[in-house]
Amino acid sequence: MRKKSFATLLSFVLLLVSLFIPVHGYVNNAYYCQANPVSAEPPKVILKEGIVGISTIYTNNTSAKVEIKVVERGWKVQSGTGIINSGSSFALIDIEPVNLSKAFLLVSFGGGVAATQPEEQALVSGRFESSSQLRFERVGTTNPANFAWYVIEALGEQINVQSGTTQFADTETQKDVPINDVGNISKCVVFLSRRSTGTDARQYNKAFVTGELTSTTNLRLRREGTGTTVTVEWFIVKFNEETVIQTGETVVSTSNPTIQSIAPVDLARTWLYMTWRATTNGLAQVSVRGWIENPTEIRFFRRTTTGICYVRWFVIQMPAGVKVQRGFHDSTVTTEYVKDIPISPVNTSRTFSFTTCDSTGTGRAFPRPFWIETLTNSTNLHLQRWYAGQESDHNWQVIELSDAYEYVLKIVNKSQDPWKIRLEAYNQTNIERLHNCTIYFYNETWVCRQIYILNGEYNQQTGEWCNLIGTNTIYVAVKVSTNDQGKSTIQTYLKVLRPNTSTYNLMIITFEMN
Amino acid sequence: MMENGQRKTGKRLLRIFLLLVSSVLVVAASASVLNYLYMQASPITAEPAKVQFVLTEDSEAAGASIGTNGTYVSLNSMAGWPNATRVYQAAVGIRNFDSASRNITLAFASWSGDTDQIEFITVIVRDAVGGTQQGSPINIGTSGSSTGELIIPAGATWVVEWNIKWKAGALSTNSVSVTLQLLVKGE
Repeated sequence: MRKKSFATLLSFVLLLVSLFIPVHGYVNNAYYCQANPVSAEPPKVILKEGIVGISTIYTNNTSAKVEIKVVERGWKVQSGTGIINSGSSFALIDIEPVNLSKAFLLVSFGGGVAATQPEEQALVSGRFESSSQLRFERVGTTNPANFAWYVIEALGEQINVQSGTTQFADTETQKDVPINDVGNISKCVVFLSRRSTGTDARQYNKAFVTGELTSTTNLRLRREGTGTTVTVEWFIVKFNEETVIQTGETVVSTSNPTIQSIAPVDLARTWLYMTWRATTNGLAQVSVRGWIENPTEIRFFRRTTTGICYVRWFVIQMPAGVKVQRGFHDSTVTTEYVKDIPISPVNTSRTFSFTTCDSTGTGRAFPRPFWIETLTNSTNLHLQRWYAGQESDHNWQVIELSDAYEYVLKIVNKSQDPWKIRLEAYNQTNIERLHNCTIYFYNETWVCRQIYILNGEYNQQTGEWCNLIGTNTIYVAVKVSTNDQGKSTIQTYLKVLRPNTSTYNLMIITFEMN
Repeated sequence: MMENGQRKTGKRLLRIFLLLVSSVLVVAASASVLNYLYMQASPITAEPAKVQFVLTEDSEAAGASIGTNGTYVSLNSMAGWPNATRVYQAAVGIRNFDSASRNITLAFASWSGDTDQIEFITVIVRDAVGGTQQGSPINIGTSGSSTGELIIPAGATWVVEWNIKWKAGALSTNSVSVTLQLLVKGE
């Protein structure tokens, strides 16, 4: 009975307590956010294959993978000027050692006194005396002779070089020189310099020599006329697959300019090298200048229509990343000895020049049309002669070589919208083996570093914003060196930002370096 | 004999009494006693919403249109490129106009259309453009996915970031429609 009362009391107490527990009611306001439609649209910025490395572009061109086989691809250019002193027929110049199978020599000369000098005094040839010494030579010993030179050396496998010395006897106009099989003559360029026994300036034209490969094992050297002994120093440079070469021979006579069609080239990385032989002696007669007029045309010009120059030309489209500057420079003052041509800044340790000029005058006041050329600093191309008195117009080219894997990929704006783009590294594997790795954007006018790894660690993981305006294209390049073998991967987002908003697109680009 | 008759009468009276009592009880049990009380809500006013959707940096790009009173927003021009992630860092803002903090929850409500072509759509609330994430990301298409309850400080404007990725094979004819619900607690 007592138990029953206790239970009843407890129930009552519990009832009272529960009445005091507050009941939580909520007041909620419901808002709605409706996104309609969220659509798929064709990409306005796309990725396209590069021409270096292996690039894989995935569906819709919005992601890509770049594979690079890391090899040495640097260049080294040594340059200078020199003089063969009066009383001497040669000069030796020490250089930093080069690999002779990977290096060639360009020579220009300009005489040495303000007076006529015959062939044997003014014409200077050059060759490697050894891997660390150059030998510049002429036939005569009277008066000084000035010259300038570039030693262009590939630090990787970009070129293979054969070189040699061949002499035309005074009765010969053609020399066929056996060479080691080059395999593919369409990848070869023949660079020449020469010296002559001429003693009266009447036979300069006979010292102008052309060089061409008639087969994979034969170098043909030719000149017009006999009567002097001409010694030719030749370099056969075989470029690798990244370089495209066109060659041919064009007759330059009564048409000024003479126009020669070529297959389309990329002007930004293409330069013209030429040798020629001349049928008639005289300043204007032997002086022909050449230039690349447009992507499908080269031109030649003389200040005369007398005689013929047979121009052996090589149009050399270098690998992506090589930058060629070119221009035309008037020398309307007959008294000029020096011309300084401003150029855009270059790295002189991997830059050389090649210039041709015409000349007024039909007489024998040589070496007025002969100028040396050299880069005196990163922004100046210096031309100089020692005997003034005629005008010369110059077509100059400055070729800056590249040690990067340029153009591994390109980014194309398919709309007129202006975008800002940059790379952001978000993942990686085995970057510890990367000694120095730079991924950067570039176009015709600028370079913008995006990602930088130094000694295996990120120094820069996000790039600066770059403008992608109109229907422009931006190229992607990689410069890399490694400590050891292996495979490294850098995964990045290409961030494509709509200006004046914070709306962007992320496109995945993976860089794989083996 | 007389006693016998009286006894019968008494029993009858008792039965009648019990019947009456039963009737009363039945009547009492089935009748309702109603007390009328009155609740008067007056005035029920329309007041400005304390928390509202507002336009922000990417609202124009997203085609944001805020409804009257800021309690509804329509985003009608969001898109993405196949196999690339489109990010509207601030498609729309959420602003607390109140002088006190507010509890809010943004949640996935529904979607429709070519949802099989979507790699993902993720909505993130941040305290500023590219700022600190508030709560959890909302995975569109996942029932119940929400930020969780967030406390937005008085006067603060947060941004709603949309991350949209279409599959590589998506076509320009593909589209989806997404509805989110924003719950704002309290008056």
